Amino acid sequence: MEDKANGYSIKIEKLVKKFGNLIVLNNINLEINPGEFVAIVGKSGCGKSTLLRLIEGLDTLTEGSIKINGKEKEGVDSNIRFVFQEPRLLPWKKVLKNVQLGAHHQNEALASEALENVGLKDKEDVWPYTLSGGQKQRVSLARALAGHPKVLLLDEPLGALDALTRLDMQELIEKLWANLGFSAIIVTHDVSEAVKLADRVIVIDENEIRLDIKIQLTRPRVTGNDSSYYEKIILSNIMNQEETTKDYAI
Amino acid sequence: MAWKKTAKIVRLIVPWLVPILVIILWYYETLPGKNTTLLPVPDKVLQRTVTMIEDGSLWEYISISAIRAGKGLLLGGMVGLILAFATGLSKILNLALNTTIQMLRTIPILAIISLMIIWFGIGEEVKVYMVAFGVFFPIYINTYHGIKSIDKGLMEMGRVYGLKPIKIFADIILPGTLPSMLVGFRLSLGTMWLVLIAAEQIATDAGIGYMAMTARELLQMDKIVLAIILYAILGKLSDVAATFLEKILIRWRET
Repeated sequence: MEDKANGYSIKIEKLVKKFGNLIVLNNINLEINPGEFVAIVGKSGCGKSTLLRLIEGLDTLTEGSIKINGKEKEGVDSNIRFVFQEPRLLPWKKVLKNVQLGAHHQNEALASEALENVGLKDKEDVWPYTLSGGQKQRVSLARALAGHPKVLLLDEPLGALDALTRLDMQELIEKLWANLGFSAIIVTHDVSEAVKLADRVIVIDENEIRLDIKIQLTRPRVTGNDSSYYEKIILSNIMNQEETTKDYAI
Repeated sequence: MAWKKTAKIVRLIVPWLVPILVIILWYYETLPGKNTTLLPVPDKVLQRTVTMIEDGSLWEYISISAIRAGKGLLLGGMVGLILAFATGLSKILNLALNTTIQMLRTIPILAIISLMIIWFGIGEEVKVYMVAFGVFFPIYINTYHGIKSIDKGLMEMGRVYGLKPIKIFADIILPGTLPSMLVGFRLSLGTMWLVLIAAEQIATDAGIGYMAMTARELLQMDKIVLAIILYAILGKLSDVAATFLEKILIRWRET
């Protein structure tokens, strides 16, 4: 825990988000410690991505408050970076220039360092279209990290990747988080991904937090009996059917 | 390696096979003994070309037409670009102007020639304005469409990374619009020559259209055909120029 001072704390109190009359998130209370890695899981449409967008400042909340590092959240700021499901690279800029967008004053050295961190130093001078899906997402990760953020928000960043690339990326994200010490929130619908990466898993169901569980497994984690214990609990909460899960348990 | 070179040569030659075939057919149709009042012998067209080059009139006509086309393109293109960015980026300007522009677009350009002649006489302006009016729409519509279809995800990314409006414009909107802008430019080149020919045949005293018109009155078949060939060559050259521009401006696109 010595390095975790790099991350900011997040405190969400009595948060409500409505789109028109539709309640998307209701009475969300959540505290995230500096440097903590939290995964948010839930069915699609449960509001998990909206929560992430609210923390970034991409949407405005209807009621309640979000405090980052003790201060009320106002708009987008460079301490909190967002990784989208799609890489969203600018096709007309070469890789290094894309990463520079995320660095302070578009600093080239910082961008180059970030690319090295994700293992793509040799791709600095190529057009994005020449990269594979996984490489593109790594560039977008580098772009997010080039500004040394205190909080990294990941909105299903691996959802579009194939299974093997996803495992690679999970390891990379875990390694970068461990080295750089930012606080991280990942939204995912992959329960085993959540258990593999996060210190804590939050299940959102019907617009509310249904489960908040600490994952007490040593890192680096491997999928096995210990993780499937957590996966079972989380899944049964998502699926809303505690009794029937027994029938499916292996 | 060898077959690659052959393939390259084949690619260079094949597009010209049909034009060459047409010229051969043309020769065949005008062989001695056949009716040459409907189609001049190719040699006569060639002769005419040589004499017109020698007395300088060919170059004069071409340059006059090209200058008119260029001026009209510049004027119509600039206005088209400026208005497209205005209506594409500002909701208020879009509301105020877009309907009018879309309405004007449905007017057949040749229908306003008479009006233009009454307003501007048969001087230089009328040709330039006609061309400008003609090229305006393809450039306006494609640029506008390009702005409207910019990936919203990229705009949001720009917001997350705190890009200033000027940077969002320069780094996201402008390069994102460029491909459709160039499509508009390419289409406008076609309209440019079309409108210019029409304008030059109705109200003019110089240029390729004028050459074709006087030739028609004097029944100089070779000159008429020469004018048509000139238009074909100029059109092809514009197209090559547009393709070249696309190639150097959009290097980032997968080919």
